Amino acid sequence: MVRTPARAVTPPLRYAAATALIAALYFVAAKLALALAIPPGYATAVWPSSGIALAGLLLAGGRHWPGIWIGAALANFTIQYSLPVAAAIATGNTLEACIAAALVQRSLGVPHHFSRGEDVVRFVAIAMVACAVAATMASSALGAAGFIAWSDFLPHWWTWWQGDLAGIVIITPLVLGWTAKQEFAWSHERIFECAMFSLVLGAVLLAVFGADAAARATWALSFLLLPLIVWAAFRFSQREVTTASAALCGYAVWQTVGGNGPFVAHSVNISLLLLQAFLSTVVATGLVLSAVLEERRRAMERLQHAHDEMEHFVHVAAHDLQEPLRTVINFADLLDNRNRLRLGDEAREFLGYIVSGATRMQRMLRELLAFAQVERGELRTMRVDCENALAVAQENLKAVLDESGAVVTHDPLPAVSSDPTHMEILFQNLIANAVRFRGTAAPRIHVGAKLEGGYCVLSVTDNGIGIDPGDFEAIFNMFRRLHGSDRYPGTGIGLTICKRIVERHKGRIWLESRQDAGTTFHFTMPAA
Amino acid sequence: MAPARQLEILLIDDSPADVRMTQLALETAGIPNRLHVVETGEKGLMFLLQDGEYAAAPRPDVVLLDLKLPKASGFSVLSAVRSHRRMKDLVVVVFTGSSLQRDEAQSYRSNANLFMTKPAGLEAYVAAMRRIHALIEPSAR
Repeated sequence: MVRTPARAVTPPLRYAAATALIAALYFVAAKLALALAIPPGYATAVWPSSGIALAGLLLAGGRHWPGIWIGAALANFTIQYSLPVAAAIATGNTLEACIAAALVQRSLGVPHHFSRGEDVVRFVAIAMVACAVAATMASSALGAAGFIAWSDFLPHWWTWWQGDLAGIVIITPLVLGWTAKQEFAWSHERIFECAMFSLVLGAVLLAVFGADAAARATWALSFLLLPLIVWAAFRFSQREVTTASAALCGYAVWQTVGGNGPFVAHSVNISLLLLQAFLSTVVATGLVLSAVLEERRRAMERLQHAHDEMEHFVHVAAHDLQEPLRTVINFADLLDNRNRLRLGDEAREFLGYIVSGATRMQRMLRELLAFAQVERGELRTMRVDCENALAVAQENLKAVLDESGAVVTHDPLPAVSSDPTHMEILFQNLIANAVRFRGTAAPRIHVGAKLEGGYCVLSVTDNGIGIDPGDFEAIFNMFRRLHGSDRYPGTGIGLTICKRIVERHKGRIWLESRQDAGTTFHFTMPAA
Repeated sequence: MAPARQLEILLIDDSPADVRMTQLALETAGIPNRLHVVETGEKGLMFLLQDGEYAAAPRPDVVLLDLKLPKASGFSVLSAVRSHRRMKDLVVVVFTGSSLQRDEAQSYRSNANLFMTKPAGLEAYVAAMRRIHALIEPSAR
């Protein structure tokens, strides 16, 4: 939604030029519409001049209303050749444009495009109110002057109202859309798709309106135009949607006037009613859908942006914080190392705490970095042989496994559809935990697999110290540990990373365990 | 037994703490060396080309290159070295605070001889220095 500031004093020449332009455009559009009026009435299916009038006031400023009055008066004079009637109708149309412009500016600014669904609703509601004014004045003036019978007042009012409303809803967004700065990127694919779309639209229009009005089949075909508007709303910007809608409406009016298409009925009023109902549906659908999609696009952009910033922040924090930390560790270590004889036991003890604290912090930062990389990295999905991933994990943990005398066995493992690095991290973290939280016996770890539906359920079982069921949820929290770091080392982020990986692949991770009775972790991955 | 020869080492690093640590680690590891230090990539290249104030600079046995440098990045220095006929055969070790896989991959793609993350703790640092020494003089213990 674009808000333009109120204009300052306009030089008189510029004012005259703008006003004259509005008057001229109004007049030309009016004559065009009248040429397509369904005889013998003065009401038309669409009165594009209303749309031009509102767009003109919104773009140039409310002060240019005399342009509308002049254009409308001239146009109507050439129909009835009655000055009072022309003046009255002109006044009604001018009021309509001024009221609409004032209300729109107050609630939407100058909406070069609608970026929220509710903005479209507001716009249409304002137009409905403003058009009622014009319809009332026009029908009253024509009735009073005897050009229409009072018994025809209501149908006349209705048709006038619909016509002006259609004019505003079709033409104003169209003009505003084309006068806005384009942010939409036009690639070769888009241009090609647009050309295809235009061809299909043209073909459907010809099919719907080309056939003889008596052929009832064309009725059903007219609904085909709705999916086309939906296509435009999803794939192009609002400018293209309003252009397609306007083209569609113009063609529909032209053909119906010429006696073609499904809306031609024995009665003029019925024809108009049907046509206007059809046009309103198409245009409203297009606008609302396009606005809602725009809203969604913006929300997703903002969300993605916030997410990226957060990621970047975590990454920078974890990475850049490591350097000063390394300096602390190095020089505390050096202090201890090169001053063994001069420092007392207490001093060396204190240095020990400094080094171990800083080292732990460094490990936590490194794991935070690993977590951030799992989060922000692009998700690759390919066929991964679990036995390969397990072998890599075992290789990485070789020192730890050898030192603890751990034995790792596995069932034949299937292939899954995942990221190979993620699978390696999963196995590595779960096995490392199994080794870390061992009991008195040497760790025995078994990796199993089961196929269920399209999913593979992998499990890592150990004979370690077990986890109390009350802590099953907590262990997945970042840096949450159940034991002191002197007894069982570890930073508490390994399982958080595992959970995040499994979630990114749309899987689940859970466990079975009892105190001192070993633990089994299960997680799902899509089977390859 | 002939005395071990002094290693000419060019250290391109702008962190005084890391420079000092490298110096002390080399000493602790008992690696005889002459350590030349420059803080920017530009000065490093001038040293290697024996340009300007570095006209008398010796040809280093190994270049220890940090990635995070003030103006030109470590990678740009690496490319410059590898693309110059007088410098392309130098032994370059990327010695950086970064533990990112992509930095490692990029270093090897740019033909560094070795990628090492600066470790924490004297023992690990000494081991790193010994590893670099072995790279240049495989017979050295």
